[in-house]
Amino acid sequence: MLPSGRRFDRVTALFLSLLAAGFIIATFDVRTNESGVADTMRGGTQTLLAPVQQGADMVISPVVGFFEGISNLAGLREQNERLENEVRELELQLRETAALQSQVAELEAINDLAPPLELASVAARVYSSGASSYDHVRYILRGSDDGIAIGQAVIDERGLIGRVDTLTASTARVRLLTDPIVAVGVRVQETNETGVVTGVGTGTLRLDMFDASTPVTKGSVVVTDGSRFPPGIIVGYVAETADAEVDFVLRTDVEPAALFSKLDYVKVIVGWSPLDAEVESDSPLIAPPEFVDPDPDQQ
Amino acid sequence: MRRHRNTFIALGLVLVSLVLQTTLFAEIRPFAVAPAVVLLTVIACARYLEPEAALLVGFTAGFLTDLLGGSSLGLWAIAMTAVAYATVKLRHREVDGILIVAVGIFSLTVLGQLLYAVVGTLFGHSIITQPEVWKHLLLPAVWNVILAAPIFWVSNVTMRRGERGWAV
Repeated sequence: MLPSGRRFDRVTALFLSLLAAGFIIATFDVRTNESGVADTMRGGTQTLLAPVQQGADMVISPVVGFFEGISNLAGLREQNERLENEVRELELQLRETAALQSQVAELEAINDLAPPLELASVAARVYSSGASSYDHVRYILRGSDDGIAIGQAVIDERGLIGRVDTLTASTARVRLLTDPIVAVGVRVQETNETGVVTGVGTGTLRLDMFDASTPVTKGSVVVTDGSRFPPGIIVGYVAETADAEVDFVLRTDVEPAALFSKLDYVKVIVGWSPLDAEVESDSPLIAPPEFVDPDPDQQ
Repeated sequence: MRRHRNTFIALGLVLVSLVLQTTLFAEIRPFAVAPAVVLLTVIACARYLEPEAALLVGFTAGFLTDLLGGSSLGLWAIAMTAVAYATVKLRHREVDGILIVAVGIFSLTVLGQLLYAVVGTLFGHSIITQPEVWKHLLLPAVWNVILAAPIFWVSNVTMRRGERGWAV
Protein backbone atom coordinates (compact mmCIF):
# COMPACT_ATOMS: atom_id res chain seq x y z
CA MET A 1 0.00 0.00 0.00
CA LEU A 2 1.41 3.37 -0.96
CA PRO A 3 1.73 5.96 1.78
CA SER A 4 -0.53 8.98 1.68
CA GLY A 5 0.69 12.27 0.28
CA ARG A 6 0.93 13.89 3.69
CA ARG A 7 2.80 10.95 5.16
CA PHE A 8 5.07 10.93 2.11
CA ASP A 9 5.89 14.58 2.75
CA ARG A 10 6.77 13.86 6.37
CA VAL A 11 9.03 11.00 5.37
CA THR A 12 10.74 13.03 2.66
CA ALA A 13 11.16 15.96 5.06
CA LEU A 14 12.76 13.66 7.63
CA PHE A 15 14.95 12.12 4.94
CA LEU A 16 16.19 15.53 3.81
CA SER A 17 16.72 16.62 7.43
CA LEU A 18 18.83 13.54 8.14
CA LEU A 19 20.87 14.11 4.98
CA ALA A 20 21.45 17.70 6.06
CA ALA A 21 22.44 16.49 9.54
CA GLY A 22 24.90 14.07 7.95
CA PHE A 23 26.48 16.83 5.87
CA ILE A 24 26.69 19.14 8.91
CA ILE A 25 28.34 16.42 11.01
CA ALA A 26 30.80 15.61 8.21
CA THR A 27 31.66 19.29 7.73
CA PHE A 28 32.11 19.76 11.47
CA ASP A 29 34.32 16.68 11.68
CA VAL A 30 36.50 17.78 8.77
CA ARG A 31 36.77 21.33 10.11
CA THR A 32 37.82 20.13 13.56
CA ASN A 33 40.33 17.73 11.97
CA GLU A 34 38.61 14.69 13.49
CA SER A 35 39.36 15.84 17.00
CA GLY A 36 37.40 17.35 19.90
CA VAL A 37 33.82 16.11 20.32
CA ALA A 38 34.10 13.72 17.38
CA ASP A 39 37.24 12.19 18.83
CA THR A 40 35.55 11.76 22.21
CA MET A 41 32.59 10.05 20.55
CA ARG A 42 34.89 7.74 18.61
CA GLY A 43 36.77 6.88 21.79
CA GLY A 44 33.54 6.27 23.69
CA THR A 45 32.14 3.96 21.01
CA GLN A 46 35.46 2.17 20.78
CA THR A 47 35.54 1.65 24.56
CA LEU A 48 31.92 0.47 24.71
CA LEU A 49 32.14 -1.96 21.82
CA ALA A 50 35.68 -3.25 22.49
CA PRO A 51 34.65 -5.98 25.00
CA VAL A 52 31.91 -7.23 22.65
CA GLN A 53 34.23 -7.19 19.64
CA GLN A 54 36.92 -8.90 21.70
CA GLY A 55 34.51 -11.67 22.71
CA ALA A 56 33.31 -12.07 19.13
CA ASP A 57 36.88 -12.16 17.87
CA MET A 58 37.80 -14.90 20.35
CA VAL A 59 34.90 -17.02 19.13
CA ILE A 60 35.31 -16.24 15.46
CA SER A 61 39.10 -16.51 15.02
CA PRO A 62 39.41 -20.26 15.74
CA VAL A 63 36.43 -21.02 13.51
CA VAL A 64 37.86 -18.97 10.65
CA GLY A 65 41.27 -20.57 11.24
CA PHE A 66 39.75 -24.05 11.12
CA PHE A 67 38.04 -23.42 7.80
CA GLU A 68 41.13 -21.74 6.40
CA GLY A 69 43.14 -24.80 7.43
CA ILE A 70 40.73 -27.11 5.59
CA SER A 71 40.78 -24.98 2.47
CA ASN A 72 44.57 -24.91 2.48
CA LEU A 73 45.02 -28.65 3.03
CA ALA A 74 45.48 -29.43 -0.65
CA GLY A 75 48.36 -27.04 -1.04
CA LEU A 76 50.14 -27.97 2.18
CA ARG A 77 52.37 -30.71 0.78
CA GLU A 78 53.60 -28.54 -2.05
CA GLN A 79 54.10 -25.67 0.36
CA ASN A 80 56.06 -27.92 2.71
CA GLU A 81 58.50 -28.94 -0.03
CA ARG A 82 58.94 -25.35 -1.09
CA LEU A 83 59.57 -24.27 2.49
CA GLU A 84 62.17 -27.02 3.00
CA ASN A 85 64.06 -25.76 -0.03
CA GLU A 86 63.80 -22.21 1.23
CA VAL A 87 65.12 -23.24 4.66
CA ARG A 88 68.19 -24.80 3.03
CA GLU A 89 68.83 -21.66 1.04
CA LEU A 90 68.28 -19.45 4.07
CA GLU A 91 70.70 -21.49 6.18
CA LEU A 92 73.32 -20.90 3.53
CA GLN A 93 72.55 -17.20 3.46
CA LEU A 94 72.61 -17.07 7.25
CA ARG A 95 76.20 -18.22 7.34
CA GLU A 96 77.14 -15.51 4.88
CA THR A 97 75.10 -12.94 6.77
CA ALA A 98 76.75 -13.71 10.10
CA ALA A 99 80.02 -12.39 8.76
CA LEU A 100 78.35 -9.19 7.63
CA GLN A 101 76.52 -8.62 10.90
CA SER A 102 79.55 -7.51 12.83
CA GLN A 103 80.34 -4.96 10.11
CA VAL A 104 76.74 -3.68 10.16
CA ALA A 105 76.78 -3.33 13.95
CA GLU A 106 79.98 -1.35 13.68
CA LEU A 107 78.49 0.94 11.03
CA GLU A 108 75.33 1.45 13.06
CA ALA A 109 77.36 2.43 16.07
CA ILE A 110 79.21 4.94 13.95
CA ASN A 111 76.01 6.41 12.56
CA ASP A 112 74.30 6.30 15.93
CA LEU A 113 71.47 4.29 14.45
CA ALA A 114 69.76 1.73 16.61
CA PRO A 115 67.98 -1.12 14.84
CA PRO A 116 64.24 -0.84 15.38
CA LEU A 117 63.98 -4.16 17.21
CA GLU A 118 66.02 -2.77 20.08
CA LEU A 119 63.58 0.06 20.68
CA ALA A 120 61.08 -0.29 23.47
CA SER A 121 57.86 -1.74 22.12
CA VAL A 122 54.48 -2.94 23.32
CA ALA A 123 52.89 -6.07 21.87
CA ALA A 124 49.19 -5.81 21.15
CA ARG A 125 46.46 -8.03 19.78
CA VAL A 126 44.39 -6.86 16.84
CA TYR A 127 40.74 -7.38 17.72
CA SER A 128 38.82 -5.47 15.11
CA SER A 129 38.96 -3.69 11.79
CA GLY A 130 37.20 -0.68 10.31
CA ALA A 131 33.48 -0.95 9.67
CA SER A 132 33.62 -0.92 5.88
CA SER A 133 35.89 -2.16 3.13
CA TYR A 134 36.97 1.43 2.44
CA ASP A 135 38.49 1.70 5.92
CA HIS A 136 42.20 1.06 6.29
CA VAL A 137 42.28 0.84 10.07
CA ARG A 138 42.72 -1.84 12.74
CA TYR A 139 41.94 -1.69 16.44
CA ILE A 140 44.40 -3.03 19.01
CA LEU A 141 43.97 -3.92 22.67
CA ARG A 142 46.52 -1.48 24.04
CA GLY A 143 46.05 2.18 24.80
CA SER A 144 47.45 5.20 26.57
CA ASP A 145 47.66 3.22 29.84
CA ASP A 146 50.33 1.07 28.17
CA GLY A 147 52.44 4.03 27.13
CA ILE A 148 51.09 4.28 23.61
CA ALA A 149 50.81 7.73 22.05
CA ILE A 150 49.32 9.03 18.82
CA GLY A 151 51.73 8.88 15.90
CA GLN A 152 53.80 5.92 17.08
CA ALA A 153 54.88 3.33 14.54
CA VAL A 154 53.18 -0.06 14.48
CA ILE A 155 55.06 -3.06 13.12
CA ASP A 156 54.71 -6.81 12.80
CA GLU A 157 57.39 -9.43 12.22
CA ARG A 158 57.56 -8.48 8.53
CA GLY A 159 57.71 -4.71 8.69
CA LEU A 160 55.84 -1.45 9.11
CA ILE A 161 52.05 -1.63 9.32
CA GLY A 162 51.04 1.93 10.06
CA ARG A 163 50.74 4.44 12.85
CA VAL A 164 48.61 4.96 15.92
CA ASP A 165 45.77 7.23 14.92
CA THR A 166 43.33 7.57 17.81
CA LEU A 167 43.58 6.41 21.37
CA THR A 168 41.62 5.47 24.46
CA ALA A 169 42.98 4.22 27.78
CA SER A 170 42.83 0.59 26.72
CA THR A 171 42.50 0.55 22.93
CA ALA A 172 44.05 2.29 19.95
CA ARG A 173 43.22 2.69 16.30
CA VAL A 174 46.01 1.98 13.83
CA ARG A 175 45.85 3.63 10.43
CA LEU A 176 47.39 1.26 7.89
CA LEU A 177 50.01 2.19 5.32
CA THR A 178 47.51 1.40 2.57
CA ASP A 179 45.33 4.38 3.52
CA PRO A 180 45.73 7.18 0.94
CA ILE A 181 46.18 9.76 3.71
CA VAL A 182 49.25 8.00 5.12
CA ALA A 183 52.68 9.07 3.84
CA VAL A 184 55.97 7.70 5.12
CA GLY A 185 59.46 9.03 4.49
CA VAL A 186 61.57 6.16 3.17
CA ARG A 187 64.99 5.23 1.88
CA VAL A 188 65.72 2.66 -0.80
CA GLN A 189 68.43 0.50 0.73
CA GLU A 190 70.06 -0.36 -2.57
CA THR A 191 70.60 3.23 -3.69
CA ASN A 192 70.41 4.96 -0.31
CA GLU A 193 68.15 7.62 -1.85
CA THR A 194 65.09 8.92 -0.11
CA GLY A 195 61.46 9.29 -1.13
CA VAL A 196 57.91 9.09 0.12
CA VAL A 197 55.67 6.04 0.21
CA THR A 198 51.92 6.67 0.21
CA GLY A 199 48.93 4.38 0.32
CA VAL A 200 46.61 4.22 -2.67
CA GLY A 201 43.72 2.38 -1.09
CA THR A 202 44.68 -1.05 -2.43
CA GLY A 203 47.21 -3.69 -1.47
CA THR A 204 50.14 -1.90 -3.08
CA LEU A 205 51.86 1.34 -2.10
CA ARG A 206 53.27 4.16 -4.25
CA LEU A 207 56.87 5.35 -4.05
CA ASP A 208 57.71 8.89 -5.16
CA MET A 209 61.33 9.98 -5.29
CA PHE A 210 61.85 13.62 -6.13
CA ASP A 211 65.62 13.81 -6.45
CA ALA A 212 66.47 10.32 -7.55
CA SER A 213 69.64 10.08 -9.58
CA THR A 214 69.76 6.32 -9.99
CA PRO A 215 67.06 3.85 -10.98
CA VAL A 216 65.39 1.58 -8.47
CA THR A 217 65.21 -2.08 -9.31
CA LYS A 218 62.49 -4.60 -8.66
CA GLY A 219 62.89 -6.26 -5.27
CA SER A 220 64.88 -3.42 -3.67
CA VAL A 221 64.14 -3.06 0.01
CA VAL A 222 62.40 0.14 1.09
CA VAL A 223 62.91 1.15 4.72
CA THR A 224 61.85 4.06 6.89
CA ASP A 225 64.25 7.00 6.72
CA GLY A 226 63.93 8.03 10.36
CA SER A 227 62.05 11.27 9.75
CA ARG A 228 58.84 10.26 11.47
CA PHE A 229 59.33 6.62 12.38
CA PRO A 230 62.49 4.94 13.64
CA PRO A 231 64.97 4.37 10.81
CA GLY A 232 65.44 1.00 9.20
CA ILE A 233 61.97 -0.51 9.52
CA ILE A 234 61.13 -2.43 6.36
CA VAL A 235 58.20 -0.82 4.56
CA GLY A 236 58.15 -3.01 1.46
CA TYR A 237 59.85 -4.06 -1.74
CA VAL A 238 59.97 -2.23 -5.06
CA ALA A 239 57.47 -3.96 -7.36
CA GLU A 240 58.62 -2.52 -10.69
CA THR A 241 62.00 -1.26 -11.86
CA ALA A 242 61.83 2.46 -12.57
CA ASP A 243 64.30 4.85 -14.14
CA ALA A 244 65.20 8.24 -12.79
CA GLU A 245 64.66 11.00 -15.35
CA VAL A 246 65.90 14.52 -15.00
CA ASP A 247 63.19 16.90 -13.72
CA PHE A 248 60.71 14.05 -13.33
CA VAL A 249 59.58 12.33 -10.19
CA LEU A 250 60.60 8.71 -10.05
CA ARG A 251 57.38 6.86 -9.36
CA THR A 252 56.87 3.14 -8.89
CA ASP A 253 54.83 0.63 -6.91
CA VAL A 254 55.94 -0.95 -3.68
CA GLU A 255 54.68 -4.27 -2.35
CA PRO A 256 54.20 -3.81 1.39
CA ALA A 257 56.23 -6.11 3.60
CA ALA A 258 53.38 -6.54 6.07
CA LEU A 259 50.51 -8.87 5.26
CA PHE A 260 47.56 -6.65 6.13
CA SER A 261 44.97 -9.39 5.73
CA LYS A 262 46.58 -11.50 8.46
CA LEU A 263 47.18 -9.15 11.33
CA ASP A 264 46.75 -10.91 14.66
CA TYR A 265 49.49 -9.44 16.82
CA VAL A 266 51.47 -6.27 16.29
CA LYS A 267 54.06 -4.22 18.13
CA VAL A 268 53.83 -0.51 18.83
CA ILE A 269 57.23 1.15 19.05
CA VAL A 270 56.97 3.31 22.14
CA GLY A 271 60.67 4.01 22.49
CA TRP A 272 60.66 6.62 19.77
CA SER A 273 59.37 10.14 20.13
CA PRO A 274 56.66 10.66 17.54
CA LEU A 275 56.20 14.08 16.06
CA ASP A 276 53.14 15.89 17.26
CA ALA A 277 50.59 15.50 14.47
CA GLU A 278 49.34 19.09 14.84
CA VAL A 279 52.82 20.52 14.79
CA GLU A 280 53.57 18.44 11.76
CA SER A 281 50.56 19.60 9.81
CA ASP A 282 50.73 23.26 10.78
CA SER A 283 54.42 24.03 10.67
CA PRO A 284 57.52 22.78 8.90
CA LEU A 285 59.44 19.87 10.36
CA ILE A 286 62.57 21.97 10.60
CA ALA A 287 62.10 25.45 11.96
CA PRO A 288 63.39 28.16 9.62
CA PRO A 289 66.57 29.85 10.86
CA GLU A 290 66.14 33.06 12.79
CA PHE A 291 66.94 36.24 10.91
CA VAL A 292 70.53 37.27 11.32
CA ASP A 293 71.58 40.74 10.29
CA PRO A 294 74.48 40.23 7.88
CA ASP A 295 76.15 43.52 8.80
CA PRO A 296 75.13 44.75 12.25
CA ASP A 297 77.82 47.44 12.28
CA GLN A 298 76.01 49.48 9.63
CA GLN A 299 73.19 50.43 12.07
CA MET B 1 4.11 -0.28 20.80
CA ARG B 2 4.83 -2.94 18.18
CA ARG B 3 6.55 -0.49 15.89
CA HIS B 4 8.80 0.62 18.76
CA ARG B 5 9.52 -3.01 19.50
CA ASN B 6 10.61 -3.52 15.90
CA THR B 7 12.73 -0.37 16.01
CA PHE B 8 14.62 -1.65 19.06
CA ILE B 9 15.04 -5.06 17.44
CA ALA B 10 16.35 -3.35 14.31
CA LEU B 11 18.88 -1.38 16.37
CA GLY B 12 19.95 -4.60 18.09
CA LEU B 13 20.43 -6.31 14.72
CA VAL B 14 22.43 -3.32 13.51
CA LEU B 15 24.73 -3.61 16.53
CA VAL B 16 25.22 -7.34 15.97
CA SER B 17 25.96 -6.76 12.29
CA LEU B 18 28.42 -4.01 13.20
CA VAL B 19 30.29 -6.39 15.50
CA LEU B 20 30.31 -9.07 12.79
CA GLN B 21 31.47 -6.54 10.21
CA THR B 22 34.44 -5.47 12.34
CA THR B 23 35.45 -8.96 13.51
CA LEU B 24 34.28 -11.84 11.31
CA PHE B 25 34.42 -9.91 8.07
CA ALA B 26 37.77 -8.40 8.98
CA GLU B 27 39.07 -11.93 8.37
CA ILE B 28 36.71 -13.15 5.67
CA ARG B 29 37.31 -10.81 2.76
CA PRO B 30 36.97 -12.62 -0.55
CA PHE B 31 39.10 -10.81 -3.17
CA ALA B 32 40.16 -8.42 -0.38
CA VAL B 33 36.72 -6.84 -0.11
CA ALA B 34 34.31 -7.53 2.74
CA PRO B 35 30.53 -7.61 2.37
CA ALA B 36 28.61 -4.57 3.61
CA VAL B 37 26.73 -6.41 6.33
CA VAL B 38 25.52 -3.32 8.20
CA LEU B 39 24.12 -1.90 4.97
CA LEU B 40 22.40 -5.22 4.28
CA THR B 41 20.91 -5.22 7.79
CA VAL B 42 19.53 -1.72 7.20
CA ILE B 43 17.89 -2.96 3.98
CA ALA B 44 16.53 -6.03 5.75
CA CYS B 45 15.09 -4.07 8.68
CA ALA B 46 13.72 -1.18 6.62
CA ARG B 47 11.25 -3.61 5.04
CA TYR B 48 9.42 -4.03 8.34
CA LEU B 49 9.72 -0.62 9.96
CA GLU B 50 7.59 2.48 9.74
CA PRO B 51 9.19 4.84 7.20
CA GLU B 52 10.36 7.33 9.85
CA ALA B 53 11.80 4.57 12.02
CA ALA B 54 13.52 3.03 8.99
CA LEU B 55 15.23 6.34 8.22
CA LEU B 56 16.33 6.79 11.84
CA VAL B 57 17.67 3.24 12.01
CA GLY B 58 19.55 3.84 8.74
CA PHE B 59 21.04 7.06 10.04
CA THR B 60 22.02 5.46 13.38
CA ALA B 61 23.56 2.45 11.66
CA GLY B 62 25.54 4.75 9.38
CA PHE B 63 26.67 6.95 12.22
CA LEU B 64 27.87 3.94 14.23
CA THR B 65 29.74 2.72 11.15
CA ASP B 66 31.34 6.15 10.88
CA LEU B 67 32.36 6.06 14.53
CA LEU B 68 34.17 2.75 14.03
CA GLY B 69 35.54 3.63 10.60
CA GLY B 70 38.54 5.57 9.41
CA SER B 71 36.93 8.49 7.60
CA SER B 72 34.91 11.54 8.56
CA LEU B 73 31.76 11.18 10.65
CA GLY B 74 28.46 11.47 8.81
CA LEU B 75 29.46 9.92 5.50
CA TRP B 76 28.00 6.47 6.09
CA ALA B 77 25.10 8.11 7.91
CA ILE B 78 24.20 9.92 4.68
CA ALA B 79 24.67 6.80 2.56
CA MET B 80 22.67 4.48 4.80
CA THR B 81 19.86 6.98 5.31
CA ALA B 82 19.53 7.18 1.53
CA VAL B 83 19.52 3.39 1.27
CA ALA B 84 16.83 3.15 3.97
CA TYR B 85 14.76 5.75 2.11
CA ALA B 86 15.12 3.89 -1.18
CA THR B 87 14.18 0.62 0.53
CA VAL B 88 11.08 2.21 2.03
CA LYS B 89 10.09 3.44 -1.44
CA LEU B 90 10.75 0.08 -3.11
CA ARG B 91 9.20 -2.25 -0.59
CA HIS B 92 5.64 -1.34 -1.52
CA ARG B 93 6.01 -2.45 -5.08
CA GLU B 94 4.36 -5.69 -5.92
CA VAL B 95 7.51 -7.27 -7.19
CA ASP B 96 7.97 -10.22 -4.90
CA GLY B 97 10.27 -12.77 -6.37
CA ILE B 98 13.80 -13.91 -5.67
CA LEU B 99 15.29 -12.39 -8.80
CA ILE B 100 13.78 -8.97 -8.16
CA VAL B 101 14.82 -9.09 -4.51
CA ALA B 102 18.37 -10.02 -5.52
CA VAL B 103 18.49 -7.17 -8.04
CA GLY B 104 17.10 -4.83 -5.39
CA ILE B 105 19.72 -5.80 -2.80
CA PHE B 106 22.49 -5.51 -5.39
CA SER B 107 21.32 -2.08 -6.55
CA LEU B 108 20.76 -0.71 -3.04
CA THR B 109 24.20 -1.89 -1.90
CA VAL B 110 25.83 -0.30 -4.94
CA LEU B 111 23.84 2.88 -4.25
CA GLY B 112 25.09 2.98 -0.66
CA GLN B 113 28.71 2.30 -1.62
CA LEU B 114 28.59 4.81 -4.47
CA LEU B 115 27.06 7.53 -2.29
CA TYR B 116 29.71 6.95 0.35
CA ALA B 117 32.46 7.10 -2.29
CA VAL B 118 31.11 10.29 -3.88
CA VAL B 119 30.37 12.14 -0.63
CA GLY B 120 33.66 10.88 0.85
CA THR B 121 35.52 12.25 -2.16
CA LEU B 122 33.74 15.59 -1.74
CA PHE B 123 35.01 15.66 1.84
CA GLY B 124 38.60 15.04 0.78
CA HIS B 125 39.01 11.28 1.13
CA SER B 126 39.73 10.75 -2.60
CA ILE B 127 37.88 7.45 -2.68
CA ILE B 128 36.67 7.68 -6.27
CA THR B 129 40.22 8.20 -7.53
CA GLN B 130 41.53 5.06 -5.85
CA PRO B 131 42.56 2.27 -8.18
CA GLU B 132 40.21 -0.71 -8.22
CA VAL B 133 37.41 1.39 -6.71
CA TRP B 134 34.97 -0.66 -8.77
CA LYS B 135 35.83 -3.65 -6.59
CA HIS B 136 34.65 -1.75 -3.52
CA LEU B 137 31.49 -0.70 -5.32
CA LEU B 138 30.46 -4.01 -6.86
CA LEU B 139 31.90 -6.86 -4.79
CA PRO B 140 30.12 -5.96 -1.51
CA ALA B 141 26.89 -5.93 -3.52
CA VAL B 142 27.58 -9.44 -4.80
CA TRP B 143 28.44 -10.71 -1.31
CA ASN B 144 25.32 -9.01 0.06
CA VAL B 145 23.11 -10.84 -2.41
CA ILE B 146 24.61 -14.11 -1.15
CA LEU B 147 24.31 -13.11 2.52
CA ALA B 148 20.77 -11.82 2.11
CA ALA B 149 19.24 -15.23 2.72
CA PRO B 150 20.42 -15.63 6.35
CA ILE B 151 20.09 -11.94 7.24
CA PHE B 152 16.63 -11.59 5.71
CA TRP B 153 15.64 -14.77 7.52
CA VAL B 154 16.80 -13.35 10.87
CA SER B 155 15.01 -10.06 10.30
CA ASN B 156 11.95 -11.96 9.13
CA VAL B 157 11.86 -14.08 12.27
CA THR B 158 12.54 -11.26 14.71
CA MET B 159 10.46 -8.53 13.09
CA ARG B 160 7.76 -10.56 11.42
CA ARG B 161 4.60 -8.68 10.62
CA GLY B 162 1.27 -9.75 9.22
CA GLU B 163 1.69 -8.20 5.83
CA ARG B 164 4.46 -9.51 3.61
CA GLY B 165 6.17 -6.86 1.59
CA TRP B 166 9.33 -6.74 -0.41
CA ALA B 167 10.79 -9.82 1.18
CA VAL B 168 11.77 -13.41 0.77
